[in-house]
Amino acid sequence: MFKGETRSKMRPHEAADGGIARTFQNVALFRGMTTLDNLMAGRTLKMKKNFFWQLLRYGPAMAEEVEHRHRVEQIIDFLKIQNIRRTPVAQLPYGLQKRLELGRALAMEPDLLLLDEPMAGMNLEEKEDMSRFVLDVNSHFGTTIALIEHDMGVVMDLSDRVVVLDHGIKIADGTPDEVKGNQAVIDAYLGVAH
Amino acid sequence: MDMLYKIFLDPFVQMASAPDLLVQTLWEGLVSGVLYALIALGFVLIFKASGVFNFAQGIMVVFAALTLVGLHAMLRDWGVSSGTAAAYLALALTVAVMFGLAFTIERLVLRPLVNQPDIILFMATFGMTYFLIGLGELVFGGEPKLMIADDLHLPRGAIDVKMLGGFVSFQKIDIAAAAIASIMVAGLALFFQKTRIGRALRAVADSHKAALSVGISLEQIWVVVWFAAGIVALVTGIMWGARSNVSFALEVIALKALPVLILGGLTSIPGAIVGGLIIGIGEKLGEFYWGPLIGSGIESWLAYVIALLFLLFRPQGLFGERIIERI
Repeated sequence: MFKGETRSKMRPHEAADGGIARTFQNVALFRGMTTLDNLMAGRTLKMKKNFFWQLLRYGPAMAEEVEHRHRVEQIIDFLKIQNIRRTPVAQLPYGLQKRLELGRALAMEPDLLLLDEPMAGMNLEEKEDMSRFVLDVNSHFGTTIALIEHDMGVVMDLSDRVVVLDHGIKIADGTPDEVKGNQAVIDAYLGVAH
Repeated sequence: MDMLYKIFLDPFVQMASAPDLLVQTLWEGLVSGVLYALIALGFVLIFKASGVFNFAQGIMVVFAALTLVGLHAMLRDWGVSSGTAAAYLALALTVAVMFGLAFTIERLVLRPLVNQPDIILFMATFGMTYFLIGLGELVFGGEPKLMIADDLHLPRGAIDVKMLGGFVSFQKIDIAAAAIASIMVAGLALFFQKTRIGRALRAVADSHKAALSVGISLEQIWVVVWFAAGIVALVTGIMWGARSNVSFALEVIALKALPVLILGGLTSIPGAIVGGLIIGIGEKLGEFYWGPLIGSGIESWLAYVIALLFLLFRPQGLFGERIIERI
């Protein structure tokens, strides 16, 4: 269910058009392009002007480009990545690549943001940075965020609502505190004596 | 000693003693270089945007030229009296046919093979090559045809310039080819770097799933890029056709694009241009000044030797982004 409609099957670009953005567990950026171009690619669907005008860099297309560039700059400020604007992303360290992926999803101005293990493979400091960004995204832009993560500390601190799956079966659903006390969850995570 | 003199000194003595001949040779090299570059450009476009090495690019050149000439003849038969009108109508129709071709290729070849290894897509373009040869022969016949250069109002004749104690002759069609190629290359470079679709094309080349996640439609992008390659093929076909004639023998010329690509790098548009020029000029100079030493015929293989040397020292090409591992 999303925006009052059940969607069992939809094409990826329809999902993107409908306001759903995502990041990937294994970073999937446009490696040959710069940070700026990656973020601008996130705005593809928002740019409507005829490409002949874009080719000439003139008139309404130029105004549109400037406006989108402005929005992208806001995201760059938000994520504090001003210094890597023009760096090809393949050269960036892993933590920054993850952050940039979040940025590209934000550039789409989504209503629903899906994060697939945003902290995977990060050290403590990077995790703390990323957690702060996730919280800020929610409070600044009012975006609904669904994230998959198995760092329990992160999950409990960030979430309003937690769903626990064990081998694909839902075993708990509730606030962090409720889930923490759930015996099935404790068993699944710590194991039970046989 | 005599042999060494002939190889290392004599050609340069000849160049210095007849500079007008040297200029003429350089010009001819430049022109064939531009045309090689045009073919290579078609390869680069598709490789850049989809990672597919399109073996069928050569035959697309022939098919486009054949369609143009064939449609022109049909239109004349059906009673379009003005040759010019028929030519431009045929041109517009050919553009439509190339769009249809791009659309069909995406639907019937690329879409079913999405996510397959690159080698599979490469083999599929082999299949397309033979299909297009068959279709072209079936519809328009296999015999060589004359390009409708006059009806398209391509310039004819030559400009003779007096310089360096002699005459140098510039064919007008060659000048036009060079000009059109330059405009097209500049346009494509702008398109790739500055437009939304261009950015989407580069994005697709880097990562399919990331491109999908930001809402880029792969289907649409592939149609756009194959259509662009089709247009490049059409322009190349017109220019080559005007110099010789339109036949399936043209396809062999497309093989010359391979050394150009090796030289310039598969992913670089400037690389295709510079590679084309080096091969074109190298070939003509080699043929004219060193060819007589071994009874000429250098032109047909020199390009491949140059490419081989580059492979030894710079396998990713002059402007290539990385080692090519996809063919």
